[in-house]
Amino acid sequence: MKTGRPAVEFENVTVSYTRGNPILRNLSFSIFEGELIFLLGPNGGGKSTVLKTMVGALKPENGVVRLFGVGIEKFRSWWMIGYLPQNAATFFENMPLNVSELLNSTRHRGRGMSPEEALNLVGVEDHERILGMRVTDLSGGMLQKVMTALALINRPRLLLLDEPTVYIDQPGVRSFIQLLQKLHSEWGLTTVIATHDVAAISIFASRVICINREALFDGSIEELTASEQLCSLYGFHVYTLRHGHRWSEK
Amino acid sequence: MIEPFTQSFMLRALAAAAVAGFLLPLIGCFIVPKKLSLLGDSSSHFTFAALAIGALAGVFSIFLVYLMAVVAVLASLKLIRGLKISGDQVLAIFLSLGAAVASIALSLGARINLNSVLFGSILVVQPEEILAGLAVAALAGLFTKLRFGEIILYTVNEELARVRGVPVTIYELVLAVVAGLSIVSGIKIAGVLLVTALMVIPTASTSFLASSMKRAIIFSVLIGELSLLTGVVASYYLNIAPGAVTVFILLGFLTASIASARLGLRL
Repeated sequence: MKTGRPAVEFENVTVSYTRGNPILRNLSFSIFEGELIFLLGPNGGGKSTVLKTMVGALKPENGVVRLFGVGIEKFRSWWMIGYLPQNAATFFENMPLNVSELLNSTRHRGRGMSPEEALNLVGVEDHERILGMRVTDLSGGMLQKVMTALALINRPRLLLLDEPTVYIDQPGVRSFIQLLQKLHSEWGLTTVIATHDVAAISIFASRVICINREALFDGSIEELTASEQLCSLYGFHVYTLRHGHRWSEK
Repeated sequence: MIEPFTQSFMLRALAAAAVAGFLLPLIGCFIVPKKLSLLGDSSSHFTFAALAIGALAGVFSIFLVYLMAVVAVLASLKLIRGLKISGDQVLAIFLSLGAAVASIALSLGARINLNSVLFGSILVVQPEEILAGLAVAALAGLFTKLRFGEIILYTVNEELARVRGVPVTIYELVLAVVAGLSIVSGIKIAGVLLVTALMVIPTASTSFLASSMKRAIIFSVLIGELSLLTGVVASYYLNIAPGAVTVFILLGFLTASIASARLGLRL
């Protein structure tokens, strides 16, 4: 699935919210097309900052960020990026927006799928009812599905997910993982998942980058669990759990 | 019954009310979800300061007033983004600053009709102000119609908007200009202290009642128009400030919307 062409490049990237207190220090890594990466780290370690920097919402103090070989400041093909930010539920307070309006607001004319197709892709069957519902009336799990449909509606080539399993129950996590499997195998979708949930990552990690303001580890889940990095990352012993289904399973 | 509609000052007041009743609820639909409800107050107090300074200097320019309102909104948004502090704090600071400058100008001898500036008047609307308001309303309505999806994304979350390629900085500028101009368009009729009500209360009402954003915009504008036009006519007959009457009508709509939502009614 990996093509060898970089989808994301970070070169010595430093990002600060307040001067002199960088949340990311000299961070360098590359993510190649077709890879599925977990960004792992404790809360406040800079995972969301990495994703925000990838989408150009934060400007690095130093360093270079490229998407598909193009510097972030010159990148214009935004339809190629699907982004699911953290805490989506808080975005819609006091807003009577319905699901149809939300999905259509992002849809790229010509490239994007219909809102019905996008909902179908994430496993929502009752399209008509859900499309007419206000976003504020959705359950946490359904909102996460709708936000995932929003991230996928333009058939992106890079999917960025920030803590995607937070509002989903265990059966929901399983079907979410099956969706990612499907997208990876059928679309060759490059996927970056930021999470603090070590249990979620152990399900089907292919490559893991551990971040706590700087890159502490970059390798496979096997190498990670064999090392002491998880312990040093979280400050206590972390036990990972292999779930029954694997990344390669259909 | 038709007497008020034969008076030229009333026709000007009704025209200004129609413009403000469209613009302020429209802009409110995007400002309230962004938690910038105080924007109207901070900008209107800056406008108050501009009016007081103009009176002190013996000059009045509507363009200076428009400029001050836009500068106030733009500076507020830049500070919120730059200082990473909450919108209500920045807007409260701007509100106080505008009021303080106006107070100094008044203390130094600026002569303005405080009652009409603070609470609105049906007697003071000028034709050029109506024309300027009409132009802003046409542009704002057209922009909302043509760029609805992008405006929605910008309102929901700026990171999501950025990933869709929405030029967030330009949208912020458009928001500042339209909000500033809308506030000035409403100040003559509703007054400095009550103009925010026209931005916030229609939006608050429809957030309970509407089943979509498009409907919320339509209902908000309808509520704004009905309230303000009724307020102006009531002001003629009752000889009280139109802003005050308008606020009570708006609160009636809000109460009815809350009651409807409690009964499970959505439109």
